[in-house]
Amino acid sequence: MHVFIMGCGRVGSIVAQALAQEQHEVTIIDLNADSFRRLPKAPNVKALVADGTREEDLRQAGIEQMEVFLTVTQRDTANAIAAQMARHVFAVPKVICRLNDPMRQEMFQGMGYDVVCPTRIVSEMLLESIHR
Amino acid sequence: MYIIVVGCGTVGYHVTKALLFGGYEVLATEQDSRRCEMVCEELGSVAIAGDGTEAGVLEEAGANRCDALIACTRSDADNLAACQMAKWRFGVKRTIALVNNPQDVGLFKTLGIDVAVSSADIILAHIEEELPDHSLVHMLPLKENNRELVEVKIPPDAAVVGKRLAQVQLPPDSLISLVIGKDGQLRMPNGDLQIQADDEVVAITTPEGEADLWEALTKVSEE
Repeated sequence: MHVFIMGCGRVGSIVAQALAQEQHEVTIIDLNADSFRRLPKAPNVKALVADGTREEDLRQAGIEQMEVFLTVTQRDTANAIAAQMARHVFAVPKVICRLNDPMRQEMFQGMGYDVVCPTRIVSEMLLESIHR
Repeated sequence: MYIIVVGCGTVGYHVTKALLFGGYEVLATEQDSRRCEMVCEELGSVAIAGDGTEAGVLEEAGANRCDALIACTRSDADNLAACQMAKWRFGVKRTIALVNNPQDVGLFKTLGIDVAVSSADIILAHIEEELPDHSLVHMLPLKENNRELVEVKIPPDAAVVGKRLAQVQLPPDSLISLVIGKDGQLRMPNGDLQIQADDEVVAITTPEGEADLWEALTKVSEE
């Protein structure tokens, strides 16, 4: 599988590493080259400095060959615009989006995106922990 | 009419001020609290501090009763987010976004933003108009049907000079809507209209047909 990851923070780099170990082809982008120090040096991992909110940057990074687009930056609005570009401009078959705001998660799930909301997950887990 | 302006930076501030003077009820949201204070000091309590892309802030701003939302931040991602949240959560009827990167205009329109204004495109159109030899000027994108309104100036040595409109081969999907003569006189386009040097031809065309239209009207006479 060709997977495109936007954002090489803690989450992005862990996902990239796991996918690389499963032998998928991973392209990961970040605004900051320093973020790539977390990545393994593997032939199936390509790291590029690029702005995923810019159509041109995504195109040059090779998004058109991708089967999965995953955006996991800390900024909801950046993830949101990138996910929508991935679907509407580049027709990437599977688009997964991290959104911290539960309201925005609801909106995007309603629009048919796969959304992961850390806020919701963490609060649910904490509440569960308290009740145990 | 009640209007919410997201982002009270350079553009947002002037939009807010102009709307206020136009007699509209306006509330602006601004993330920078100091800037927010400055705006309130000058214009009155017309701004609240907060992130206008968030439902909570939009709710505080009264989005459920506003008639239009104008997003003018320097970030296209934020402008898009504010407009989408306003429409989805609060049913705001008219969403207007400043688009900083002209490449994003198409996406904004696809996603249902009612008006997407690219400042770069507007400036470019004005610059094109100022150039003495301006050929094709983009005047206005027409929302539906992928059309645009353009203006072509007929050079004196063009092959079409002296010809009637019926004799000019226009690309499909292009239509001449008006001809403005060098003296400012308006002429309605019918088959008998004779094209003259320095005429400004206003036409409706498609992005794909634009180059052919320009070619048809400005190609130099081969004699």
